[in-house]
Amino acid sequence: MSASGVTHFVLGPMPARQFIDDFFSSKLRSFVPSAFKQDMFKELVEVCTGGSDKKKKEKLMYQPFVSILYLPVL
Amino acid sequence: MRDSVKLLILSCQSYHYTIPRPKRTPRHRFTIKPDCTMYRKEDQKVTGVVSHLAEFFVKFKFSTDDDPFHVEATQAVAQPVGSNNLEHFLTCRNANRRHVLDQLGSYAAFHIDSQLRTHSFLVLIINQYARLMRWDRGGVVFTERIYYNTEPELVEFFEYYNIASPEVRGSNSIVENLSSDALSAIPGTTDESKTFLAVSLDNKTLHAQPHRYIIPSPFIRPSLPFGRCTRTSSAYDVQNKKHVYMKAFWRIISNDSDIKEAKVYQELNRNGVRNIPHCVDFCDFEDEYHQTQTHSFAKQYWVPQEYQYSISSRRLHCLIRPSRHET
Repeated sequence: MSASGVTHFVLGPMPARQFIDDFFSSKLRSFVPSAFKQDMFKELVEVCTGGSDKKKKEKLMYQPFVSILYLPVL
Repeated sequence: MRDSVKLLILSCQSYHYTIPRPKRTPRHRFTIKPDCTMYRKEDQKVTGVVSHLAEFFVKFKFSTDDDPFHVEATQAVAQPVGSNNLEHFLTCRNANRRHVLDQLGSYAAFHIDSQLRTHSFLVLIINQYARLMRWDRGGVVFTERIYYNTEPELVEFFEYYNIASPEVRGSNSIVENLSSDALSAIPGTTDESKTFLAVSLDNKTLHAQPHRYIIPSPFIRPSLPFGRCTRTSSAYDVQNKKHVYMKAFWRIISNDSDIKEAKVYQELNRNGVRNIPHCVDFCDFEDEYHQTQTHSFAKQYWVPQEYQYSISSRRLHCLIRPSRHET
């Protein structure tokens, strides 16, 4: 099946809030306080706004993203 | 955020997978490179892409030209009342975007197949925004753009995923990874290059306790994860200590009286029809996690009315037959 066939199986764009609610929060009993902060991905945005060599840039995007969520191996 | 995270992301290298082909044909090799892979914390020692342990993949794209769900400004249409910043549907009018959609589909298929998952989440980071996706055997739902540096939904996705039950995350509750200790007592599982799964079928009409069957991890096919997706395998019946044949597929749910394959076998067996394989065990899973969910969104206000979709409601069906040598 090629991508032209895929389009018949694709639904969207779903509002992101609905995605979270329908697939996660509606199935949980507890409220999860979010640790989100404005500008927490500032480093990643800086990588994305400079230069134009896209292959190199994609690799440079990994680290700033992972560093926000990465749990060091002890 | 770090303190609360039980999951772990690792950067990874590309993963080469050799597709098994019929005898006498050269093996075909393809590469997937899902950029980052999320694992559970207890699996933190793994390196690279370990398909049977992966939780989900994160794909990075620098250029918005690679966004398969991007909408050209000229395609904008009047938005429905009550919608907020919705984009008009869809997709794939240039080669880059078609390629990326194929890529994402192959990652989802790779992930779902290798663990017999019910569904798979995928995160696509495109420059300064992200999209979330949920793939199941019925289709895929994707989100509008999430500008992750100013909007909370991407971080919330990770937070909710982190505390969600395995079934919500897409793990198949009837499937279990087996340790090498557990495998040592089972004949035919000594090949260390292979991984094995235990599949439990709970058919109260046939047996009081769930029956366990050991199968090798399924072959991964370079195809999209939609449709019936029949998977067959030799299996080891732990209860009766013999080799059997397992068939699993996602059948379309048409109505309450629809035909179930295992029931047909049983009826034919009961009536003494010749040359029909005996069906020794089966299960038609009726819980919500073994049914596809994509179809339930087809009438939502954010799906364009003119959109022609082929999304069906499907349910997992498994059956066990004696192996060829036993019939």
